[in-house]
Amino acid sequence: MENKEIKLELRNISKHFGGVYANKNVNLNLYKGEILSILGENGSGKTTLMNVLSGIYTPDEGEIYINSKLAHIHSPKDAFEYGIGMVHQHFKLVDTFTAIENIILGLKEKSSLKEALDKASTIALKYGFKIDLKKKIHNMSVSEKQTVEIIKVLYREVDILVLDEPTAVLTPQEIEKLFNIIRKMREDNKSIIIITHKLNEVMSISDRVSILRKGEYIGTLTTKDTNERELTNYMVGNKVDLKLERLKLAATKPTLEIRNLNVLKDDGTQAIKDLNFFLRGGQILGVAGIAGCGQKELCEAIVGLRKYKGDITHFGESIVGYTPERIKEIGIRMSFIPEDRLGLGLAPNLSIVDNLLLKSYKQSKGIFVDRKSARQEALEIMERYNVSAESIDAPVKNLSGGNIQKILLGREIGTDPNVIITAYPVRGLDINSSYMIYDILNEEKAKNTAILFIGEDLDVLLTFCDKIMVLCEGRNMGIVHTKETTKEEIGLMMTGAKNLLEMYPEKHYGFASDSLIDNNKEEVHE
Amino acid sequence: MVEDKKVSMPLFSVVKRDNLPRLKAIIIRIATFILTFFLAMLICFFVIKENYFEIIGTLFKGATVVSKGKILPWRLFMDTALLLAFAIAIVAPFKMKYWNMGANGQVLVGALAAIVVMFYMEDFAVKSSFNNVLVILLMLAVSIIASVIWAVIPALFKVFFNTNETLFTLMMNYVASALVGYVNYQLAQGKKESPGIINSDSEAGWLPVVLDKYFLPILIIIIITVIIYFYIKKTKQGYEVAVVGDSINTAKYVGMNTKKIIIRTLVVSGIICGIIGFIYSSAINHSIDPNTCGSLGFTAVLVAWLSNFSPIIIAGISFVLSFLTLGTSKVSSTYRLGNNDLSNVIIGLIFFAILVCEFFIRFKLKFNEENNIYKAIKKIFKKNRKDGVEEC
Repeated sequence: MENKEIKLELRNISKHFGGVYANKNVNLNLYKGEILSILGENGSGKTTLMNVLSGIYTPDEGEIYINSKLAHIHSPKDAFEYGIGMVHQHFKLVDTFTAIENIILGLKEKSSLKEALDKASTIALKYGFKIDLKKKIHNMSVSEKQTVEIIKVLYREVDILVLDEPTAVLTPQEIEKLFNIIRKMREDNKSIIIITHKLNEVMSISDRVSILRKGEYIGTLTTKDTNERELTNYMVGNKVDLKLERLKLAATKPTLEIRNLNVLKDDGTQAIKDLNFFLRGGQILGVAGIAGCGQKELCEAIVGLRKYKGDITHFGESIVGYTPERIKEIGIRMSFIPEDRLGLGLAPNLSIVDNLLLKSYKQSKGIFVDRKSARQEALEIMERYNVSAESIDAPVKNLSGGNIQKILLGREIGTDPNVIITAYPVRGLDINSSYMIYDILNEEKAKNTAILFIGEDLDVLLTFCDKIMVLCEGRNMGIVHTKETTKEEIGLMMTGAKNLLEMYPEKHYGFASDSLIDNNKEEVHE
Repeated sequence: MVEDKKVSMPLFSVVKRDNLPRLKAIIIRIATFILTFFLAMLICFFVIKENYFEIIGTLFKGATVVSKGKILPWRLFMDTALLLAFAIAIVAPFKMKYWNMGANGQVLVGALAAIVVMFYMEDFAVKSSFNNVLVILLMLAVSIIASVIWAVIPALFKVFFNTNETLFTLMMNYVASALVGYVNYQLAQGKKESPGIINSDSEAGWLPVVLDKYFLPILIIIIITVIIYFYIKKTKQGYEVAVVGDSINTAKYVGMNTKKIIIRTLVVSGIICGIIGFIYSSAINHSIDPNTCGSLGFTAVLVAWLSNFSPIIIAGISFVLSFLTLGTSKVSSTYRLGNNDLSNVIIGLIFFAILVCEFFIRFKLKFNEENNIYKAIKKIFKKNRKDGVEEC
């Protein structure tokens, strides 16, 4: 490996947004004819780094060398001129154009459509893509769209190819096909960077792995000399000793029962498929799954923000199709702490006081908003949860992530909920704030609140929750008691390698034995 | 290796200012205005080539002209009030990020409805003063209804079909203009293009004159402004408008009926437009033509936007603009410039200055020391370089 020629070198790249570093002194080498994985958790700065490389962002500091020459990349066009092509996670194609029209879009040299078709077909043939180049984008599947994106960059004769989470949208078979194509490119002496957070893919495809953690460059390893465990350690850092408490409470009747839930994503594809589960008061049900496998849609369906098919009952009473307004009206105290705090939970430009009022402003009498008692409440929440803010009249978007989350949680818990739906409540928070959030949730649990906790850190899920439901591509892979399971088992279920529902159909996962709807099926596992 | 070692940096980047103290921001705004004003007068000076201070004097005189037998410059007050009213009418929708470009059309149809009532009910109104009051109230009612319909149509399309409200409301202006032209023609019974001043002899349906022709209308507009101020800042409905404007998904999640809120806000906006339309027909013009509102509906967009949707600042900016418009047209006529272009130049300059000023209040420029141009400039100013960019 050492005698290979260096194709691309990043030196001390830093990029920050506001006061937060997305990348800090990142160094990276890419050899000719190799596949380099960039590994990191969500928010570790992988995508930012690649956006710097492809000219979408300009780095605040640092240099990029290509073929040992300093490169000036200020736009994606510059990047193409240096032979860098990027396939984004979210495709950037014109829907109403055909594949070939998208491929030649923006090219300077004039070539007839026929010539372009010939050239693109040659590329497709060479690497083994199967695609109809005259098909319009809006008639294509995700995998086909991705193929178009890849041919588009190859058409520009790039020799550095960046793929940003290319497998996130693909089926296992499609992933295998894609990997074969990538290997062919390597044989063709192209250099490929592939961004991912799936370890098995890293192991199977790449020659070397570079690891980022919280925007910082951790190191680069040769894939065949490492293993998944080592990579995980580098990726997450030293194992934090979790001192999370799991309260053991007596089981109560199911609060929320969900049957045959089917939810669609915004783009019309299936997000949640035939999901059954239930929540009990005084229990925390964790949800594990790879990012984007239906978690967001699941939450939105339950709280009434997204259309769905299936049954949702609250103490045996159907709330199917209810809007959040209606759910509130009939006296169900459901709290939602969404993943997108500023976009869905709070109004970012309004003050702390106004944000606390969001759920309660209607309760005061008369036509005026009662800000006086809200101010009082704001001061109390700030004191109780140790929120640091300049003033209660400052816009919440100016607060730090931890403080924003405390305000949101404070408001939601102030409504004395009996159901809490929460998605990634500690994402982006520091350790102290995170623990405070866990404590608050535990306090709520002690009050016999039913909690759905969508998480990403398996250690947390295993220590903190009573049971874990594992989702894989929107399907339930099984619901396990945290005491009786292992990280490995959950990992296998997350990738779909293990499906308890298929293995033990007689157990009726997701059906409560003391269901308030019917008693036909019993979850033996319970 | 290439000679140049660093990645070349852009000359500057735009960085958000953290928290500029409020007082400082206000002082910067006032200073900007005064500086721009004197700069504008300098332009006048170069165009007219008369005594600089005499020009300023003419401008002030023109703006504050007092008609015979009056004590106060009512014309200035009325112009200010009208611009203020238009801006107040659109401020709630704008706060909701509903870009209502149709205030002109909404006012026009209201005014038109009032005119029609005034035209056909003259005989009824002249019978007694009580009847006259009834007619006036009816004019107000139909004006409001017409304007509300005009405002709500695009809102319905917005919430149910997600059409673009900017284009829709803009188009509604043209429909309103055409409608005015058509009805005018009908009222004049085809003899002339417009029926002219309606009920000029009987004064039926005319708002009574108290103190001055303009006093009652101005009073009405002041009352509306105060109400809207409280509506936006203090009421639950105003609060809902702010939440929907800031994050519509958050609004939905906390259980607000966003469709209802959008339509309701446009009803409020329509009511104000209706009142303005009534004022035009009953108090100011007693006649109508497609250009009755001039371009106030569009100027108001700028005013509302620049004021950051605060009714108090809207009033301030409306006053400044009306003052300059009146003053500069006086300057134009006094020095025989032949047209009103000078006025447009100066108002454009003021708008531009306000925009630049707002930009520098919210953002600052951070120069990159690595940039070559920056280095060159720094060399030139090395001896005597002031800190900070005081473009405002």
